[in-house]
Amino acid sequence: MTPPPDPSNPPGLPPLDALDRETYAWQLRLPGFGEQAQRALKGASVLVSRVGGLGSPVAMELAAAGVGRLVLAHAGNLKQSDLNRQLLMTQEWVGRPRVACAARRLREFQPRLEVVACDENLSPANAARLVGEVDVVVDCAPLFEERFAMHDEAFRQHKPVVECAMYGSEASITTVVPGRTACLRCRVPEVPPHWRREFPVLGAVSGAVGCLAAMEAIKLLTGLGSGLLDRLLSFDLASMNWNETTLARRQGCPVCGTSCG
Amino acid sequence: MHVTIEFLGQARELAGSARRSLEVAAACTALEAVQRAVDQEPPALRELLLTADGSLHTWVMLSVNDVATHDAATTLLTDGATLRLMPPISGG
Ligand SMILES: [Zn+2]
Repeated sequence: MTPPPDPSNPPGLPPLDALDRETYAWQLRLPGFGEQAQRALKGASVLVSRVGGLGSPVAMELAAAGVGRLVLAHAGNLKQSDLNRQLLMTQEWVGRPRVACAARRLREFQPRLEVVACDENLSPANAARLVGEVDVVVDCAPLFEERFAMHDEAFRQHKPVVECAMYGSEASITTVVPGRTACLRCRVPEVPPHWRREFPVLGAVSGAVGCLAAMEAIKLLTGLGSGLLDRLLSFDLASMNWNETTLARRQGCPVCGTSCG
Repeated sequence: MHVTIEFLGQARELAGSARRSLEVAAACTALEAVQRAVDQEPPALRELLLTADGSLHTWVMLSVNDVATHDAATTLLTDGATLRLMPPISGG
């Protein structure tokens, strides 16, 4: 006879062992978090696209929190000029693939973490595969073409996306949940011609919004607190002005306009 | 009536500062206030925010009192309103 289900031990979530309980002892005390949230993180898989100034702290904080599996997508070799912000990189790695360095650092930090390192950026060619591997996407891409590939596919697969970006001393972040919130294309329906690949960056700014993005992903995975759903948080760390804007769907949005009510 | 316009991102860079105060007529729309504000600014700011025919670029987010609007031309302002213009950023 099958025993009745134990509500404190939901099926499908990996159990915690003694090392988990020791590693995460300080966060297991967090009100509204607890063992079930920790198990949800252990069983979770998150795509971080790319792992530069913004994605590095996202991946690091998710690894620290106990997310079981990270898929990292970032093409290209490390440049000296990346080292003012890309915290998962190391000086001696200049000239070699960034994503391999990020994977190595994360494994050193958290040996139990499963890291899938893809030496490619998100594009329409790989988005279905990469988004299909995970529960949550964190969008840290420097180009709108990449962001669109990721968001369009996440919408098709009903996967939430934490969307974060920075420029100079400013940054913004929101969480997109298909079927529940406005999507990225409601706000940015087409590639804005003014955006250039090279933009001013201070690592403390990309790092700050990266930590916020990791927190949004943790909340999506565990149900902790309330996320930035239809809320765009924007801030300028030079003046320490913070704003929150309520977002709304765009009528006729090319992605979410017709298929959700 | 009196409204405040805030510029973020590249708009702030081109405007040289983050904020403008503006006197507008009653029943002024959000788009009219934006057009009035950028008339006094460098042409590059106008190009960043507005199309040649004076409507807002689809990708520029405009909020009125912290609520985003997709319809600047019909959004009526009230005295003391704050408008925020955010050209999208994608730094990663
Ligand atoms: Zn949409």
